[in-house]
Amino acid sequence: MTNQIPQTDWSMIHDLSSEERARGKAMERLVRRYWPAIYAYIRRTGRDVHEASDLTQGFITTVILQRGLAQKAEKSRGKFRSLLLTSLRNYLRERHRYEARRKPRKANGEGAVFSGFDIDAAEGKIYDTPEKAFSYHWSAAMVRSVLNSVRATCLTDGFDLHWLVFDARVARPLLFGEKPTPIAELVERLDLSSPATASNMLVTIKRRFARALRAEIESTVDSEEDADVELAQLMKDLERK
Amino acid sequence: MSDTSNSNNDPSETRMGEALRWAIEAANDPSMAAADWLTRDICSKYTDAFSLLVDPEVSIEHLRDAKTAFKTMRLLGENISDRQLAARLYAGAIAAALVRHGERISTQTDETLQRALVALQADADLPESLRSIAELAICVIQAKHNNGSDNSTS
Repeated sequence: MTNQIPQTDWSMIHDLSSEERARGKAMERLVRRYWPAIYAYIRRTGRDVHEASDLTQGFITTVILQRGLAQKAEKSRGKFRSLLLTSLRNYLRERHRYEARRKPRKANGEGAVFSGFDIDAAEGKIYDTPEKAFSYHWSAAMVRSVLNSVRATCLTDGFDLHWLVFDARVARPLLFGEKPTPIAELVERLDLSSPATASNMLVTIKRRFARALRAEIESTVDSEEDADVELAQLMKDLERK
Repeated sequence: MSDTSNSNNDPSETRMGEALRWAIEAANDPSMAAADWLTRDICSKYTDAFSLLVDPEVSIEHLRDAKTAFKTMRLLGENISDRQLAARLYAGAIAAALVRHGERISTQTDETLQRALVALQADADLPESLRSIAELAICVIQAKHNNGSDNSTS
């Protein structure tokens, strides 16, 4: 175990074979997209901003790049989210024990690692919170990516109004708890021909969103069954209680 | 996906909604949404990155946290716009510390720091208030040079 947290070095991906590079670039894409989930998890374990930043970079460099989590994910596949979360937990335990050995606690408690924080005790009490933080930000990052993609294709394909209808009727109510904008109001505001037109536009974008979301999930799992499970988890994260 | 019209104030719902609000905000300005979330994580009284950086009463601790968080975003950000915005905000945190507290929270050389601050000050996409802080920070650095002081360490 190194003394210092190594800085992230994406160039390691470029040292691989072309096939490995392709997989590596895909891994880089995923890691860059979901680093907030890693960071959020670590923050919820009680680490401050500085520790969380160092550990986030250290995890990505040490576990994902140096230890080849990318290759393991590719060979065994399964759900990338689960693999990432398990690896992260293990990494934090490793770091905690390493730091504890380096800085033995003094009798008066000085020199304690993460003073005021006990990872073993935390697992029994606040363990759910880091998990939820990870899950929220994982789901949010995925939704972000998909919404970006859908919105971009809507604009490219001349579906600007379709997007506005979807945003007002589905996206904002789902995420903010706002009341869906009445169809009649949308018809007037957007100068649509009829309520039926608005409804058809909505269905079109819902289908696009569903396809895009499914595709994004499938990029992180190995089988359709796993994709179904991941989609159910995502919707559970998205649903309001 | 079901439409909802429920807007109750259950805390668990709020936390979930907060993460997802970030996602939908991101549809309009993805990079800023990420930076704003990092800021709210530092201190919930700040709703966005700019409000922290331009607050005349911001603490030096919050600025150090902001510098670290934006540095992480600069390194790990998903795309170029994420990383570029993070670089600006990183410089902004350093500038605010210089201007508000007279403290250097960076180990970068004056030359490197000044380049970053000039870029921040010239970025018309950023609020005037933040760009003004960068301008003031540049003056602070130049004044110390004129006085012959060595400010290369934090």
